[in-house]
Amino acid sequence: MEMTTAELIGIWVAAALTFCALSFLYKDNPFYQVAESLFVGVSAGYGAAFVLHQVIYQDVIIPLSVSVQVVSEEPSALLQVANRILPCILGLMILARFFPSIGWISRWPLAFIIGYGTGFNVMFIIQTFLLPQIYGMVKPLVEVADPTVTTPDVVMIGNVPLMATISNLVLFVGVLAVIAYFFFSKPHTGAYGKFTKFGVWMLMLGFGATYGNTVMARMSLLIGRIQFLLDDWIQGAMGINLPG
Amino acid sequence: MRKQVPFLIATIMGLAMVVQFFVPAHGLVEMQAIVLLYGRIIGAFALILGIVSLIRVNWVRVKRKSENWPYALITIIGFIIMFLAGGFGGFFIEPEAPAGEAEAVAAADEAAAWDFDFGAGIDQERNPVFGWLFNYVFVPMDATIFALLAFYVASAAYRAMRARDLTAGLLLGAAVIVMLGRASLASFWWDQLLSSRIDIIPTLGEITEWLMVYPNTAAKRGVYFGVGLAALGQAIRILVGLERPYMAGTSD
Repeated sequence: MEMTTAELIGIWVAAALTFCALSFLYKDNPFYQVAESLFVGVSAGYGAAFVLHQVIYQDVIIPLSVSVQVVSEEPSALLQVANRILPCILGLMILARFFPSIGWISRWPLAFIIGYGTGFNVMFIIQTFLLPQIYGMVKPLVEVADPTVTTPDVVMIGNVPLMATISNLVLFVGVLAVIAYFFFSKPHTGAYGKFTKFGVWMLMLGFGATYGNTVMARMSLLIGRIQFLLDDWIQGAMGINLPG
Repeated sequence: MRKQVPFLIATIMGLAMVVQFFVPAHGLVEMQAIVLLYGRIIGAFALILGIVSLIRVNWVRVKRKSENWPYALITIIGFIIMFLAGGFGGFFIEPEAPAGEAEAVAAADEAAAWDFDFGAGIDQERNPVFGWLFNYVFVPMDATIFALLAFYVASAAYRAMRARDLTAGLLLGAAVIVMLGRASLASFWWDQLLSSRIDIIPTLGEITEWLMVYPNTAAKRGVYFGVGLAALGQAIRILVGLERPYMAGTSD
């Protein structure tokens, strides 16, 4: 595939930055420091450019310029103008944090954001953290298979698939045990202590599985970088054909 | 003024959002859209606050020539280049002209080279300079630095995960099984050597899936109950003014 000069330079730059970042695996060194510092700056620049276009330009400048033009003919446009100028004033008030003597002014916009965010999150928390967990628990533990359908690989007791039922029990009892473990108003001793111990086992299995999953997700990112170096840089930019 | 007004703003806005959920009347739904717009615009200024702080801290390091100041300068240069390219890179819009008409292409090319399109911004098609920086500087570093975490967590695990007792063994065992189960070569050898020969042994993929669906869900569900209740309690504390995070960082 033909590459433009910009693409060619880009791939070399990307490969160099990839090596700079990976060099940290040996030890902290100036190449990694350069890549890290550049990444911080570029990320901040990206964030600033994103906000400038997606918020300041799209949500403030364009609607404001349109509303100002029609405000003499359509008085309702005045509300649109106010709804753009007021949040900008509140936003500017946040910048008062730079001046300690008037820093208290920044509390108003922060209170606005925290207040509406909290009110919004109350319902969000109930809808996503609490209710779905309860819904997930309230269902039959014992699964009964359709007797007309034969499943030779599944171990059955009568019409009950054994593994599915055991798994449901593990989930149900596991959740109760984990909740019991986090209930500190009662000493974890005796039968209750043994029950909470089962909760700890569930937590350990869950944390282990999550950890393994996270490691493999990061690995896939690393594989992506190695593929970039092999395919785009060595084969594409350098023109060296690799076997396989 | 300094203490009561912020408290009133936070409480009124919070309660308004709750009421809007339970009474989704026409005016209240519109109000929510306006409040979200306000939040977005104020949030943009909050980002400016963060960026100005970042640049100020780094600029002070450069000015005082403190230790490792060249890296601070690199951060500032990186910021300026990316911000200018993304924020004001509309000069470099791609020419649009009918294919095959050489003169029209050349004319459009010449015009486009100096045509300022502020709206191009972070649209990579219309702003190739920003697209280049994004694809060849931002993305490689982002992916590589996050990929490095694989090594960090692996080395941390090597030091922390010792199968001292049953609980530590469960943690280690689950992690190893999931990691092997997600690696195709390990799954292939497990299935070839064990699952295909002994019927009762499930495939590594099945064991991984079971761990992810049942014990992992049990642990997460229990934790989510706790997180949900704690977050709900914290939200109520903020709404009634027992907790006032907006007062932090400023003096009376």
